Amino acid sequence: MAERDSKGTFSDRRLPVAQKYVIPISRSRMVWGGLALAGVLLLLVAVDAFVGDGDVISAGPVSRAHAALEERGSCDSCHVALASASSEKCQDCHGFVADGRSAFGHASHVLYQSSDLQRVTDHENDAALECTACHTEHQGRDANITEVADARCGNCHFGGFDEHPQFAFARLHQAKERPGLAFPHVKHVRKLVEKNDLAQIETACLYCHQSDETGAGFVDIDFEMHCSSKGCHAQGKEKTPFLPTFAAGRPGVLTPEMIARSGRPGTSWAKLEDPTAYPWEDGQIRKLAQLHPDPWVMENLRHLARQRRSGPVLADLLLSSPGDAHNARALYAEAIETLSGWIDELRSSPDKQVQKDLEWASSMLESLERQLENPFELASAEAFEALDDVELDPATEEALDEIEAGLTKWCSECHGVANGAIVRPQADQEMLVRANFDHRAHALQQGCLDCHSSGYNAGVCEQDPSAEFDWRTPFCLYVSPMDTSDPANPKLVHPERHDLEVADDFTGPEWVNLPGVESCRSCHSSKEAGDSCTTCHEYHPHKDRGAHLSRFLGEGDES
Amino acid sequence: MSAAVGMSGRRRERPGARLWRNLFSVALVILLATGLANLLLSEMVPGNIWGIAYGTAAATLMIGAAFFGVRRRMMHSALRLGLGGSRQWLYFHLYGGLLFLLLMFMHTGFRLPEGVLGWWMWLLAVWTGLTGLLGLALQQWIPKALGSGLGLEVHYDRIPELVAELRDRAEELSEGGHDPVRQLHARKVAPELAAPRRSWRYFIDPTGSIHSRLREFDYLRSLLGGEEARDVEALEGIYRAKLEMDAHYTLQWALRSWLYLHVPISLVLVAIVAVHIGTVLYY
Repeated sequence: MAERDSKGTFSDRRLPVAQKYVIPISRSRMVWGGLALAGVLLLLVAVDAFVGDGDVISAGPVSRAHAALEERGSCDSCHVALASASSEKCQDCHGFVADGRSAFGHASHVLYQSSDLQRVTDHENDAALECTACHTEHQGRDANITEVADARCGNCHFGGFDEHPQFAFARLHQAKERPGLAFPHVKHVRKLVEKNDLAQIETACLYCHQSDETGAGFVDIDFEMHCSSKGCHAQGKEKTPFLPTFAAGRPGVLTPEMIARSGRPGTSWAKLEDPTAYPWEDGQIRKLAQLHPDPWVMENLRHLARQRRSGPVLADLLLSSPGDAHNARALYAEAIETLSGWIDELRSSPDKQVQKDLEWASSMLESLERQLENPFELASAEAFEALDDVELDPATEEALDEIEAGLTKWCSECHGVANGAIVRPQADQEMLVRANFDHRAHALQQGCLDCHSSGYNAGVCEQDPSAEFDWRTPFCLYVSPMDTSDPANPKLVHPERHDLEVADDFTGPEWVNLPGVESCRSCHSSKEAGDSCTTCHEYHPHKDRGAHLSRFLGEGDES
Repeated sequence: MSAAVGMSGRRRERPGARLWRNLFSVALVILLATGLANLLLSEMVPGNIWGIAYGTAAATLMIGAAFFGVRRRMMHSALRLGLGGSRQWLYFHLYGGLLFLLLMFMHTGFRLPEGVLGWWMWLLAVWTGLTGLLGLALQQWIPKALGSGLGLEVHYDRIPELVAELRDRAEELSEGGHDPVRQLHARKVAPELAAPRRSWRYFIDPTGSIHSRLREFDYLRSLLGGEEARDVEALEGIYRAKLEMDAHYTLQWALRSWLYLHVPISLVLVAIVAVHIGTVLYY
């Protein structure tokens, strides 16, 4: 004790201070232990990676669809060393994707359902998206890798449904649609309700809007099926007025005999015409029992058009004007169909040279058809533009206009007629070109008029008749009263203001009753019916056509 | 870690503490704003540019924080090379470690991982973060607890030696004392002095638990008189010193041992992150 105390004491217990410097117990073993643990772990990982099945280094189980690849134990099934899971590997099973121009490629997405090559070329320099940019694997067996978050679309597009721009048909056509038909919804609906004593207005919709096989959309509007089958617009009852016949230096219509004599392609019908269907009076001719379309009327419209221009144009191959056709391919397809019909007419010709020429023409048409199928082939509607480039004296011009009006007197009850041609109607009823809308899914919960009406049109019907309105037919007008004080001229009047005739404003063809994006938003939100991009849009619009598209890969690269 | 108390009685901050706290606050705000922008503009997933940026930043911070341990083991070289003071490295270790944890969560999109390696990495990162926070809490609390309530300050490594010293003194006192003193020694003091002991009660109340155990000495002393009372008082002093040493033995042990929870696992974490980076780059 004495020796220890010599260094001194501390505390009130007088405990001895340390005789020498106290070296703390080393904690190196803690570090070495950690390093040993890390070493063991690295060894485990190395064994798993090089000898085992790679379960440890895997970022997680792959989805069920790819589970077989995982069970093979080969990361190389999808991954490329020092790169990533590459689209080239995906194409081993999923068809051509690597060049970005096939069914699953970025170009197909850009091309989308618009068939607009310009949209592809505009994005030509975009970095091709790898499959993994959207489809993330290793999220577990139950992960659905085809469900792509909106944010991934937002990398190129707008951020979400809240920011979704107005639909193109509404945005581009501004306030009014132009279906090419003088088609007043209100008039038709009221007529159908009255004629068939319909209790539900929506039943009237189904007379024309008939579901296609899937129920998602509607079959194309067809004159026979939709317009004449119920006897509303029966063909064979209408006749043209008497019209002057054509002679050198005098504008007029061609008689069936003249047409037959001309031998022009597509005029074989003229040889079979009944002369009694074309009565004469004072050197003028008329057509009784007009058909839809009537070949005599259509041929004479082309005849009149030829007098206004210096040479033939592609528009001559069309039944109606190219209009503002959103799909130029449809115009080419119609032109090819017309040419095929002409060829078929000549098949019975005994002239060997004709047969030889027909063979050549047929092969040309087949080639054109193949070309038309190629989505990367440029298709423009400009070639169908019919320019009136012949200077006519005013008297001739006026005479041509009069004949044209006479020829299309019955046509123009429903069709627009412009520049000597029937305005092309939009028969397919497809308004959404880049999105899918499933009517069947909606019809289970909503009536037609829940979407195709009202909105802020309510202001038109219920409040201020002069309020600003959109392009949709106000629902209230279907049931608004008719002023029959003048039985010869009944008028549709405003439901509140009977002194106000609304027919001029709302019963024209432009009122097609389509809802805008705001109507969709009333149900589609993150908390209700869902508002993800994939609800309506597909990245791979034609994934079922992979083999078809792959035929054009080489051609696409050259274009 | 305990804050120094100045002449005015106000807490005086360590040099650089405010700067590091401000830097951390700014970094935290930037990270949260970035995360918010990420959620608005894109997805919070590991694979996109946002996720890769979070992962890269997290790995960089983790490596930086890990260098604190290296810095502690190369005091002389660090001074020679001008690597900065140990305290600055500690602050970087603390705040960088917290930011690492946040960045790791942002990297994973605040979702649980899927793969084995991912789970290991996630659990070890959380473990390292939590044990680091535990260590920080212990370093904040234990020195204050030991310094404020106990009358004895003692080096942890000397406790066994000093307990033996107390045991010798108690035996000496007992041998020369009367029966009550011998009985008290044999029954209560000698078993306690057998060896240093740790007890959870010191974590709850270091001083209160000692006072409650000394009441018997007060009672006995009031019954005895003269020399016997003085011997009891001497035994009480030895007994109190032993209990205070036990408090030190317990709390200083905790102060040292949490590192065993933190350091080895953090080394494993560094290794796993290295493997993760390797696999990401390779695949």
